[in-house]
Amino acid sequence: MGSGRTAKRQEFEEIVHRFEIPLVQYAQHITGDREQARDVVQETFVKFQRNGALRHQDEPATWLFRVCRNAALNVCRKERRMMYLGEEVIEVRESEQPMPFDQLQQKEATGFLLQIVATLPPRQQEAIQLKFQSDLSYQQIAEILQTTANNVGVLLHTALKTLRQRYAQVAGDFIPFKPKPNE
Amino acid sequence: MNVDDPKLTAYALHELEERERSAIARATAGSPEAQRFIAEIEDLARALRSQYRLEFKRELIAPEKITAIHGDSFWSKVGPLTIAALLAVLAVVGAVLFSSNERRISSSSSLSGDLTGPHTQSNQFVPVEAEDAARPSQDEKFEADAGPYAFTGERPFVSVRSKPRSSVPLMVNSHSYSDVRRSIIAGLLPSRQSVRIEEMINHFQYEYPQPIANESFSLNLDVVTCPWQPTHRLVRIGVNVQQAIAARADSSIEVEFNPKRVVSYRLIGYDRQDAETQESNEKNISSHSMAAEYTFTTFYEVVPLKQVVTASHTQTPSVAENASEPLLTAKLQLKTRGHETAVGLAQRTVSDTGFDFAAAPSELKFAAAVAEFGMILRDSEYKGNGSLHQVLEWAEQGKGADVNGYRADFIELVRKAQVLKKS
Repeated sequence: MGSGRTAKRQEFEEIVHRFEIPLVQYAQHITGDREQARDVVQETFVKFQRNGALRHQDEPATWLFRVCRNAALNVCRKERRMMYLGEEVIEVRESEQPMPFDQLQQKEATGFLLQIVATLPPRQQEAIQLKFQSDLSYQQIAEILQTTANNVGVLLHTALKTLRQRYAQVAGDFIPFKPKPNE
Repeated sequence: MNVDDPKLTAYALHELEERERSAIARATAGSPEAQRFIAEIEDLARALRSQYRLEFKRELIAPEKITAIHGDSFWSKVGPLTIAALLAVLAVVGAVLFSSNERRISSSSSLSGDLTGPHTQSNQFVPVEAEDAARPSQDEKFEADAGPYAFTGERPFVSVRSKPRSSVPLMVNSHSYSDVRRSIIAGLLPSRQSVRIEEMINHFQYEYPQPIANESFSLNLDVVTCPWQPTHRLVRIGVNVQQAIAARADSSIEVEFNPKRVVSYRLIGYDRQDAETQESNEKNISSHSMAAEYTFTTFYEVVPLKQVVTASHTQTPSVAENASEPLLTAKLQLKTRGHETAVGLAQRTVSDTGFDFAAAPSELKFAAAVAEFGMILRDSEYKGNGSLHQVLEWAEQGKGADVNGYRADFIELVRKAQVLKKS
């Protein structure tokens, strides 16, 4: 009995270790606020311990991200700065808009790609993050975004196509360490 | 075939069922455009995954996170075990950072794992531990052993505990080799002063991996048994810089040794010279501009910790137990004219996996032969038990393709020196 509880607790800790940071980053994307994202993730883990753990232990990712997403959207709704309503953007604070592509200042190789990701429409950003940060399948992402796997395929295809184009465009004038002509 | 098809992306991301997968494979077989598209998506996917992983590591070590763990009411709810486990995770973060071998960081990103931090060395031409090492401290055996330093100008072994960091300039000229060569061909062993080992090593071009796309340099680290002192390890740092870069003379490689693995280290070459010679050398280097491809090679001789603790009588240090613990981290700071701060920055970590010198890459063998040749010509107190005979052996093993015959010429030179030494 005692060891069973310990094992359960260990499983839970493993899940926390694995998902905490991706979930915080994901929630921060939606809320635009670090602290709120933390609160949302805490809430998600507490819910998971109470309700989700038993049924979703084998594959907790979809459950965690979906619950986390809903909680983050709730925070936005409460604060009347909804980024999403279904697919629609209702109201977006200026700071939360995707970064205009031509304003990209930092063109270092590292993190550069993620900066371009930040210029994509919010839903494409979400799909990219879920796919490449958390390695979720189209089907899992579809469940989280409450859409179809086909639609996820279109979102990712469009997002990657744009990323390729923008990267190539910037890479044209971004060759690291190449001296400027006047030097 | 239309490449603007989500199916192709799904194929590249391994999201298709087997039946669809083989259908796409057949359909793309005759379309170079589609294949290129798939390859690009795969590249992009890899790059995204690796950048998210890097971001993840940064989050793990963010100071904010540590305070959050202590301050959050949630963590008091889930109990001390979780906290302990998370702290354990944080404790190994250093190891995570050390072991990420291929990580590149940009000049503006401030990883907490950045070992050396902002460096404001006013004169980076002189390797950084040189002056400090010249002043022996009371409790450091290795520094106290630097007795002959004043006489030979040689760099002593430096204790990692007192000086974990060393800096070595990226740019050297290679005049010394011509002087040494001229002297030996004329039938005279060269004067000690004229033998500058780092210049001799870098007289030769070495084959290092080309930089990957969008990068202009590669930084390569290897650790093998030190051939002239088999109880020590030999670290080779090799840099390949592409394109003609107007690199400044104060571009450098910063090395940080891990005190858990290394007792002391010695930078090979860069022996002390009088102020006048140094000044003229610096002048030469400042006007040095890089050709289409520039390679740079330097060696550190390292006394591994294990060796000292066990006072081992074996020839090869046992490294298996600690193999994952890195030996050192090297950071390349490339500076160009008109920029005060480094414009290019790369960081690499290397662990000692116990490689023997016999298994070393040929480029390393050849460079080590040149280094030992220099030490023998200088009659260095650190030349160990190497001989000109062995120098020949290593140079032969490391001769490689030798397209322009420079290495064959070196081998000939060593033979001549052998004759001169005997006479």
